[in-house]
Amino acid sequence: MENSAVLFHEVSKRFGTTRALDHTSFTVGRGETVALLGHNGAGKSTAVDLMLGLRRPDEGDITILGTSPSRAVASGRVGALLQTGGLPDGATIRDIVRLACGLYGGKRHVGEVLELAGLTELAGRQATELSGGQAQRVRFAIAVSGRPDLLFLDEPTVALDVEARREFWAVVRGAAEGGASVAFATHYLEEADQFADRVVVLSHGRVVADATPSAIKAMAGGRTVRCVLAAPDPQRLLALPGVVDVTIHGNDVLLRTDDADRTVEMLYTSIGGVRDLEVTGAGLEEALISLSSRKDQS
Amino acid sequence: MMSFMRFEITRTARNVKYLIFLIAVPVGFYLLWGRQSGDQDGVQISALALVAMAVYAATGGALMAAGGGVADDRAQGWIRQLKVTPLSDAQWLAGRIVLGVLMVLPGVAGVSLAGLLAGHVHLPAGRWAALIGLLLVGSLPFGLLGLFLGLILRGKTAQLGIVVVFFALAVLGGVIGAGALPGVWEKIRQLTPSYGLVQGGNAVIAGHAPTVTQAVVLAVWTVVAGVAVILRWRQSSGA
Repeated sequence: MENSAVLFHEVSKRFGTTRALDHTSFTVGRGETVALLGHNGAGKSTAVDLMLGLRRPDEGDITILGTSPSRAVASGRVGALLQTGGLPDGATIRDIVRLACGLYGGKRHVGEVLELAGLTELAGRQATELSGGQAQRVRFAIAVSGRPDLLFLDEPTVALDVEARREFWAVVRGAAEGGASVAFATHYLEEADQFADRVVVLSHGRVVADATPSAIKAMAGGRTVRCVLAAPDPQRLLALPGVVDVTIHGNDVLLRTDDADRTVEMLYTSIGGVRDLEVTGAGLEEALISLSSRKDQS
Repeated sequence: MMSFMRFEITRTARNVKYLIFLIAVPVGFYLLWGRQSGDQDGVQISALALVAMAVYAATGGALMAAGGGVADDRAQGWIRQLKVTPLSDAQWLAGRIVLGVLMVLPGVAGVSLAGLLAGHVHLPAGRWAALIGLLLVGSLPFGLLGLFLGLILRGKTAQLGIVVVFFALAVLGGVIGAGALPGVWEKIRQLTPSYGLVQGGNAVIAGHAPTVTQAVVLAVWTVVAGVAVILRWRQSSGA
């Protein structure tokens, strides 16, 4: 049991008539970073709440670091950054971090945690005076002040701009270097791709895919090829290697492909007259639509 | 637990508005009206006024320290954040209550000092200690009541609710204002914890123990408020 940080087995949770989770199963291995990817309402936050013992499942079993969620939290081996977690009024960042270090039994020093989260210069500020990215780093500081074996991050960068997002992940990487397991919820495929070892895709409370980021992207028709053709023929384009979907607007062609290299190669050799070619990664929207519809049909 | 107490005390001590209400107001009232000379039933009037203002400071301190800010902490998600740390629910509740009782001290100390210096109150050290002890224990139901209000009310309503309850209990209990209340209110006041605490304090400075009725009233309020807090907490933290 102890070789998994999280065992989430056949878990169901309802709120009224809404099924937030529907016989959902996944695991997080020791030292592994796993992304829970999905739209708002896919069940990510519910899963995080359940793993932290904030709610109880209607059905199923959840084992965290070999024990129950609430025991794991009480033991101080789990750190969490909640989407809905907040910071108190009337306290400085140093006060808050000192409290967190104390609650986790002094496993890290206040100065060390402030440094780690990039908060040293903000230590004397009130929590209410911080920007979104800074406040998020304080929440992160609380989460890592106990040198956790398992770290939960629920939509950690949702309100941040690109720059703050990059800084935030640089800090997470630094903190996770000690071999901690990390489970994070996100609705950015890019984020899951860049930071996770494995991605669990949730849709309507069910796991629709569980694989490495590159496999997920491939499953979702990983790349998009755009080009302009003199006389695009949908049948011939669909027959090209790797192509899973074809969209044509006038002379503009949009191909979704599992194997962009071969698609492009054959586009030039067998069709020709290709102009303005562009290859991009597929976005989460496309990935989720593709994955969810696949699962729903089965 | 210790780090939680330290955190909350630091936070409370920084709240200037709160400290004014807690120390300056009862001390000010005492200096304005409490420094009368003369005796009443063999007890200095300035000492009786000291009891009333010390009760004001103690009950206000307990209500606000235990309950004030809880509503904001809930609304901002701070309590949720604390729930995912090793701080247990029981420790949180205990911490708030201990905080309420501890925050009785600054106001009581201020009023006592005013009584000693400006009111020329002469009390044997033993009675003085007994009075402070009574105020600490007797503020427990107020701390629990404040906590309960913080758990059921939201935002500004919670602050307001605590202040309203505080003044209602202060007037009913004879902490503010003198003389008997009209009609049935005089009977009702006997059941309030503030009246119990003032009368108990008066007994202590006269050299008696508080009566059984006073003790029972305070104990019943403590139990009822305590059960209300626990029920509300379970309800709000349940799945």
